Amino acid sequence: MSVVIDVDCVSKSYVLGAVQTSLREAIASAASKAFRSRGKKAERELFWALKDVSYQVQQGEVVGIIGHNGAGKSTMLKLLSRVTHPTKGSIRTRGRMASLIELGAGFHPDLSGRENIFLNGSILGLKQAEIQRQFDSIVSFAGLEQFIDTPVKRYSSGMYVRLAFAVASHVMADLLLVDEVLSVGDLSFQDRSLKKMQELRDNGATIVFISHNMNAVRSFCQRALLMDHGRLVGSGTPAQIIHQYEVLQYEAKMRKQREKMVGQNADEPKDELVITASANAFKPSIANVEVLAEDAKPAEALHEAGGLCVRWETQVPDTVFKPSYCLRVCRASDESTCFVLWGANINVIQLHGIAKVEVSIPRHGLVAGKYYVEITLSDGGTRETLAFSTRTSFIISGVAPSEDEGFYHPLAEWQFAEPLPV
Amino acid sequence: MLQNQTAPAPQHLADEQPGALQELIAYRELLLMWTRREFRVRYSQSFLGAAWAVLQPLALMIIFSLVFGYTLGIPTNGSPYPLFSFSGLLLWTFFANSLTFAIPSLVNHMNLVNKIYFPREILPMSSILVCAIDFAVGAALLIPMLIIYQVQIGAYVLLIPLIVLIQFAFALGLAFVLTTTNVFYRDVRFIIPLMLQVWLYLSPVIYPASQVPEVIRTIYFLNPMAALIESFRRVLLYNQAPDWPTLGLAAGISLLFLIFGYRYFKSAERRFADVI
Repeated sequence: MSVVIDVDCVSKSYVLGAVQTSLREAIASAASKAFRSRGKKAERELFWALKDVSYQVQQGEVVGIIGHNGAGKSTMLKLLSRVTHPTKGSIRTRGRMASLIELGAGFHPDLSGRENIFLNGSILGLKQAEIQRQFDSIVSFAGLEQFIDTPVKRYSSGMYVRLAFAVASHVMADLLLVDEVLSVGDLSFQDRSLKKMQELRDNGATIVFISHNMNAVRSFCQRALLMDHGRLVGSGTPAQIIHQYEVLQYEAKMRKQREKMVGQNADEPKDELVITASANAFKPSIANVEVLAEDAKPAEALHEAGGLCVRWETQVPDTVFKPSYCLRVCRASDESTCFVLWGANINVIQLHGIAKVEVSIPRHGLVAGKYYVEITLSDGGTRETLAFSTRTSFIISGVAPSEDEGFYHPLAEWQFAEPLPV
Repeated sequence: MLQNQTAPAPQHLADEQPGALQELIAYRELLLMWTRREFRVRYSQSFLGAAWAVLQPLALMIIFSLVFGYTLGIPTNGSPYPLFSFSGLLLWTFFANSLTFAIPSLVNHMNLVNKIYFPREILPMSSILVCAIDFAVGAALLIPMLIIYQVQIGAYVLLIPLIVLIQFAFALGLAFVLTTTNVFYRDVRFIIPLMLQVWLYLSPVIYPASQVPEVIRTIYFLNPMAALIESFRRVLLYNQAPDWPTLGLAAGISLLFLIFGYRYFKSAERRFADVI
């Protein structure tokens, strides 16, 4: 395997505020600089869209980049596609690159579909002969055989986007940059698009994929990168990184809430305690998650036909009204959810300090294997998520069944009626 | 977690970034496609279509002939004034339109420059190539005019491609400089019409260069357009050799503009998407 993308300590800054686009301003600022020579250099505020990002992508890898809006994902893709250049650091790529960043940029409304295929294809770096060879395939993929000689300004927006995706996906690229384009068109077209992308992937293309669709990232990518405020904060399997992202989002939300509270209190007579309080002081947390066998026996005794008991502590510094817990048990091998239990409107209406919670499941029905449990606390009124637990693994002992025997054994009672006397 | 990646060191990644010219050559098909597109688009949904390419210099020729030829009686060294002015206007229109269309080409295709990578010089270049097509269409009209006015054409006519080539290089070089500047300072857009108007009077379009006083003629021919229009008329209308020193000077200036203009363009290119 060889490296096809090498991003080395890349930073990208933009000048905040109005960019001077008239000569008068430029002259004025140059003149004022000349007269006021005593330092005020950092007058222009810089915004760092990316800060010290480094990673490598191997040939044939499918990498998803996730992160909140403005985390720098699109900037990253623009840098990779050479539309813009890093302020610091270097980016090196190898092989023919195609970007599905802006579908149909470069289409001209007055030209026919046919002409636009050739035009767009050559913008994406295809040779005439290559477009000629793939022309029929492009047209049938877009499903536009009938309208191919109609000016694209008469197309519906769906037809327009279908044609654009068809052209872009037929670029035989070694390196494909994709920015949230799988969400275009109707469902059947989305399905075909995803199939096309999978086909490209299976043909050995390296793909860098930006999406807010976590399911797409989970199923399509081998590796995920997490970006946060211009920094690369995580790299790992999609499941790992998506979990990290969820935690991050949750923390950001809590921070915002705290700021709001601090802001409110600032109007009142100054309360030192509130203002100096750290973020964690206002955050509920779930800790000491334990998985035990029935009747709180130690976990070694967990076995197939038995029961299960989950116990944890919730720390809530402030009152939470109507806390609602969600307990999720997942299979460790493929992270599929086995079951979810909701604990809403529990006796505790308000929480303050440390609350102990215990859930007992007399008959769990799980077959032998490795599992983990996750607990979430949310506000029963606003349905807002307040706290996540870490994953706690446990093992159900016994003989692991083969694939086709399923992974759940419900409690069942068989009754056999005696054959009636003839 | 990120630092621990044990990926092999990238090999030869840096060596594969091609030079600017190589890349332009690799994208030559896009240049052709884009020129075709520009040509189609420029005259699409217009009733007269490409005839506009001829009508512009033709209309000016009629007005100039009435005002300067007939009323003011400007001397033309024996050539009929309509033919005299049309030959000058043809070259001038090529030049003026090249700048007019090329300079806003990057800003007009902002969405493209912002989203997709390709050598950006393709945009101004194809604008000028379309003007070259217009020029060819207009030049075709010269043939019946030469027949009507019974002008004897000589072997010097073969120098016309050279003159047009120099003119193309000059327009392109200047367009590189001004297109780049226009991305950063949109003032250029407003300066151009004024600049072209003044420049028209500084070039021998309406009058022959022989009318220019001897003392300032050296400075006068620092304007490549003066040398080019004058040479064009000499080889076409008078079957004379061009004045080689002035034409050589024009070629030199054009080449300088082309080289440094292109370098300036390429060095600013990486900032286009951020500024535009």
